[in-house]
Amino acid sequence: MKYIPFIASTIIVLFGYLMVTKLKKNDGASETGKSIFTQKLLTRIGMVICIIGIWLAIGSAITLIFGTYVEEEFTVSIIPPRVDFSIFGYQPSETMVVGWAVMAVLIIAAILLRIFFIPKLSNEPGKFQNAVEMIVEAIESYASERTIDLGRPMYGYVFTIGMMLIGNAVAELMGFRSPSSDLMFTLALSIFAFLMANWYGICKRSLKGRLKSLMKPTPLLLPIRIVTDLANPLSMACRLFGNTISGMIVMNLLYSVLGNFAAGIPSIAGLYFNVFTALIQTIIFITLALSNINEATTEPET
Amino acid sequence: MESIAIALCLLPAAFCGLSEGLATYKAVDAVARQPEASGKITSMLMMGLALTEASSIYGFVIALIMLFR
Repeated sequence: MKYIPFIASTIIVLFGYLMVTKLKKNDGASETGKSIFTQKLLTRIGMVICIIGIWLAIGSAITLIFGTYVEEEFTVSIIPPRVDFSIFGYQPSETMVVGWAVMAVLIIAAILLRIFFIPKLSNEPGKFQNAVEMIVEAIESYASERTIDLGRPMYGYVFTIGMMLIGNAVAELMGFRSPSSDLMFTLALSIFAFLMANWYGICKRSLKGRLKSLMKPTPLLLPIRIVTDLANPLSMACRLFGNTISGMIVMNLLYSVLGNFAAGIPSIAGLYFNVFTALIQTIIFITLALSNINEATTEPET
Repeated sequence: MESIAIALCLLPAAFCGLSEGLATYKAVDAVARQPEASGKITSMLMMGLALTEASSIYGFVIALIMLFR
């Protein structure tokens, strides 16, 4: 009795497969019989039936092997759960460990590039060197467009933050909880951006100049300007955090709805919810940080 | 009472959708008028949409904090 769904889905797969192959065989006769358009359409329909059948077959096979899906209560914790092991009496959270892993991969990749790739740079670039040069040039032009006075230090900053956030997106795609879905991580990034803006502002135009630019329209607005500046890192942190965690919640809902049939569909939805939004937010984060720094360093126009 | 408050927190999403539609309408208008500037307009639109979406995200985060305290 419980084998019925599996058998039915395999029959659907066979039906779709036969539909595609039979139509392929009739290729020569197509000029006389049906028009090419309907034949193509029928082939497509056959493919779709085949894919749906495979999906159903995988789902029912999983049900056969592991039993029916038990629905758990859907919970999302804003504070990520702690891991089992402890380091010197301190228990790191789940997202921290994933973040360390991403950092380790990035650092190892950077060291490998430094040792094996940089000494081999030549004037006649190969394919890989061309790609690297294109990326570096794109980032340099992006950073120097937005912060004109600062130049070199900004390139490194932009590239580091960008690679870290992209690495988080990839880690989430692989099934871990993304570090950006931890408020502490995003807050750390945005506080760092805030400190950097102030540091460069004070370096470039002394403490007096920085304070003077804050009370630009009238000195009466100074407290409001200071509050606006202080609220900026919080808003950046909440933006990144909210986007990542909303994607995570949607994916968790999808998994819990699909149950045993969660083969293939979440990977396509994840491309949008985990990767596309994360990439957009990376660009937004970098642009906002750079514009903050630019605002702090350049003389405001009167 | 608490669930009503949580629902009210998601109200920004409605206005966010409205404003995003307005922004897209203007962008499409601009592209129709000046097709050669479409690349620049697209990047600016993306930037603006993501910034607009933040307002609904704030409400969402607050709702989450109220739900899973």
